[in-house]
Amino acid sequence: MTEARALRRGGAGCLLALVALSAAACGGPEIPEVGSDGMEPAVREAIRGARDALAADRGNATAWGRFGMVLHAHRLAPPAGLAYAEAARLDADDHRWPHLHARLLETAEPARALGLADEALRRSPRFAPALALRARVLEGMGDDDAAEVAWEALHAAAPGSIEAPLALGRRRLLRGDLEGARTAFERVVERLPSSTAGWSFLAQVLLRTDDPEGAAQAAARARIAARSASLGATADPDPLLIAVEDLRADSHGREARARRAAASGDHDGAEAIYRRLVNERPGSADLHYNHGNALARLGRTEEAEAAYRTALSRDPDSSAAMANLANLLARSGRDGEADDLYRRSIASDPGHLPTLLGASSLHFQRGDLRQAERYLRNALERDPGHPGALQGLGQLLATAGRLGEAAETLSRALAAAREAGAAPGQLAGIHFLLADVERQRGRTAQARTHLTEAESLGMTIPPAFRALLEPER
Amino acid sequence: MTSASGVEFTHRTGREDAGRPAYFMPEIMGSGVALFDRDGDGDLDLYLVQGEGPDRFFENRGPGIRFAEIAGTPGGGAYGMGVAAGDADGDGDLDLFRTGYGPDALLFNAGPDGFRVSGAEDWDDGWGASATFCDYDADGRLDLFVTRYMDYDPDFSCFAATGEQDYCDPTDVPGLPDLLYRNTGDGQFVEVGNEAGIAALPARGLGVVCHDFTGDGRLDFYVANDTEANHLWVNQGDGTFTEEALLLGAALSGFGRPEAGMGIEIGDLSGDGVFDILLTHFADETNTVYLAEPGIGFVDGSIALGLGTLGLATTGFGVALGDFDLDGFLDAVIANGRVARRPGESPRPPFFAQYEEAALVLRGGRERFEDAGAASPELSGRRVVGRGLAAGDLDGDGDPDLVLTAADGPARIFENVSDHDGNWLLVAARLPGGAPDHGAAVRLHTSAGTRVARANPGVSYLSSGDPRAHFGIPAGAAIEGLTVRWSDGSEEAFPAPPPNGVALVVRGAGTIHD
Repeated sequence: MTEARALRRGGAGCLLALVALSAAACGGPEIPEVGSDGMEPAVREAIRGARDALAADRGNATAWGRFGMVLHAHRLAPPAGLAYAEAARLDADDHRWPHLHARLLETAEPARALGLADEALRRSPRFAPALALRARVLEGMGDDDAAEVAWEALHAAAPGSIEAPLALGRRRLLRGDLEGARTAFERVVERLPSSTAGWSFLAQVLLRTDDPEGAAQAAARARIAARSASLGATADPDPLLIAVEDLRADSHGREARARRAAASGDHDGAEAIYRRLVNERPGSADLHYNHGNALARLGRTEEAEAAYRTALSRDPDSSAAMANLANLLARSGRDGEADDLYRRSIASDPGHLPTLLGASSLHFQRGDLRQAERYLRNALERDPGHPGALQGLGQLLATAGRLGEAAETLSRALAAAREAGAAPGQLAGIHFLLADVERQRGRTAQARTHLTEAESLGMTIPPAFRALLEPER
Repeated sequence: MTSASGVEFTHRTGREDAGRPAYFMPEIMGSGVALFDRDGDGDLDLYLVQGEGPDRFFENRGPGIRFAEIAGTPGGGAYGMGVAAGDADGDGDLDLFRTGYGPDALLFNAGPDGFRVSGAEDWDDGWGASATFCDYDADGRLDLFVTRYMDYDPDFSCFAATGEQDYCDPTDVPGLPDLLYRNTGDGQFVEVGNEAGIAALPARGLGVVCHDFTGDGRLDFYVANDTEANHLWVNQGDGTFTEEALLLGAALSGFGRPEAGMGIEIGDLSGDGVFDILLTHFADETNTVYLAEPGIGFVDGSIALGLGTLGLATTGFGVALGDFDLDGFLDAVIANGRVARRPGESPRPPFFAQYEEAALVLRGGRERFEDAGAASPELSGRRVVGRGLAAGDLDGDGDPDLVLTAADGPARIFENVSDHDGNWLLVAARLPGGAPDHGAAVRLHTSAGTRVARANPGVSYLSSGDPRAHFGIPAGAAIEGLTVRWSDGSEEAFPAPPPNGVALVVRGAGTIHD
């Protein structure tokens, strides 16, 4: 098997070498032709555009590189590799082309990828993605000592890396250096609380250090992260690879780009992509739903409502679409319609957390605290550590005058939010609620501490509460 | 040697059938095979699951590898996927459970009358994949675990990065909870996944194996999930299970990544007397070995065992671990076949050729696996869309043979013709009623050391293999005795059987030499 594969690879290498030789003879290689039968028109167009740009300037390294990136984005590896190689030949200083070429070959041809990563690092010695790639390849090839040195090099060059402490921790765990492994994994989960791998490895270390309780807690965090976060977050982001993915022109690639745009707060960008996608794939409930979300974020309420209703016409049982449409209606004061939708959504999926939270919020606003509390407790039965549900329950209990319970619940919300890596704004909000509860309980010192925390997290403290801060100043 | 063996079976995808949606996902996932002694005559018979159409059953008519088809086999109805063998009704003979895209079915062994089908309405009608019989509650009756793959809608279309239609990437489709059926006696089963805790974690399950992974005397379930963390359901002894793969280091690869788990085998790959786990995976992922560290969990030993690069280019499904050359070390065979075309490839006839890959044949040694494909060119040199794989001694010569199934291809039988000077022993571990004790582990003590082997057919992908524990014994080594850890957690020692035969050990009743 190995022998046969080597022959195939050898054959491909000869072909590429022949092309390169003829290139030297005629001033540059032919621009690879890419068969486009069956491709989506947008993909064909993207490839043609990059090819035409290259044809107009064949001596331009960036044009070759860009052509390679477009091919790479559509998983057309052999011609992409050829393009990267020519880009690297034309510009002997630019690290991007050997690095992207290495990424293309990382698993299929690790030895070649290693040489290309070395070349990228010769050009840009502290380029973290190439250091990481080099370390991964060395470890995969079983060269443990070299891999360890490479991971240390990444750690030194990119102190914020997740991948380096994760790898160094793994290597220490294998060597039996449990204290070193624990330190490394704790660093991983501190930087990325949603790291399933970080929590899982930490659990394994704690189990080996006779801390079964800590191990069980870490494993529970790993399970939560596996449910709610990207399991693939074991590698540091590679900006060059992200740039490649951004060139994907097929509809699913554009959909992924829209998701990234929405996640980064670029709702205009997301809306524009989804608008085009729903025209191309009008039957997709998910696309209409996501389009609705982008429109809602932009405050385009009527269009958002229409998008959610279209999503529901495609998938009448979509709890997500029902919940978000209900939230939208509730914000517009159409409480009855919103309530109906929440009920339909709960009937369809009794454990749908966004629905339970939205329904609770609606009843809270209407003053029906008992029903609001019932929804929140249902949500917490499903996910006892849900920061939003705990925060909502704490606020509700405070409103109901059950201050002791409110303080206890909000403290749990704060711990859960911290563990989940919540944004500063959410943490500040919980601190502020706690400050208010403690103030009402007459515990001024505690109230002041929480207000100070809220302010340090960027919250503007309302004038009515500022007096509480004064004695400190 | 399939034609000479009397077995002629080709997996029928139904791709060209009228009304069939293009790129119907079950068709690329293939179907399985069961090796089991249906008629109790001491040799392994053969059941092949069909995708679109009726299954086929072949009775072993040795000497040698010779089979004759028995007509009138049930099956069909659901698009066929996997099969598990076990004594479901406690009458001492082996029944079958058949999974499919559509209603699963229990096929009772009706002796000379063939099989009797338990009502399809009793069973799940989602997408069932691998299944295994196993007495998890130690009540003397075989229960049943069924993995379910995904909540797939045939009208849902998927596309490659070039925008061309292809089979769906698993991440495009949500997974389903697996199913646990408790045997309530007389072949009646009740689904208890909710009460047991299994239903709490839906995932894209494909392979499953039942084994006491924690050494507490209770049988656990390990499930290979496609593109998600694997599950290790640890038996709590009260009818419930907790998922502990993330805690015990068997959920993610050594790099911390979830992989595309397909098939599973267990065996002692590090020579420490403890069962390790071998999982097959997608291309660009290792075939991963989780080495067991008793009382602690598992570590990924793939790279150390030489699997860092071997098999990295292929997509593995069925898997068999066995001492094929009787040298005392476990070898491995992995059925390969793609689930999507290579990037940039457009469909061209013959359609499934673009999904074909050759099997991987690995020779085990003291430290590492080595590629041994050159010695088995018929297996490693011919490309198919490899899926199910089952190992068993079909011809009674003491070395394991293989049956390989392929999507849109013929099932093929590979007779083991390895050169060897070692000896062998097969151990049939039986319950007092006569049925195989699935989940029993056999420890063989020889002058060359102690080895363990499973007496459990429920491994690989969609398939069921030889339920007897097989040992290769290096030339010159003498058998000193054997110990069986039964599925109820009890242990029993037996005197040394002679080599080169079948030792029948019955719980609490001593040894009978065949």
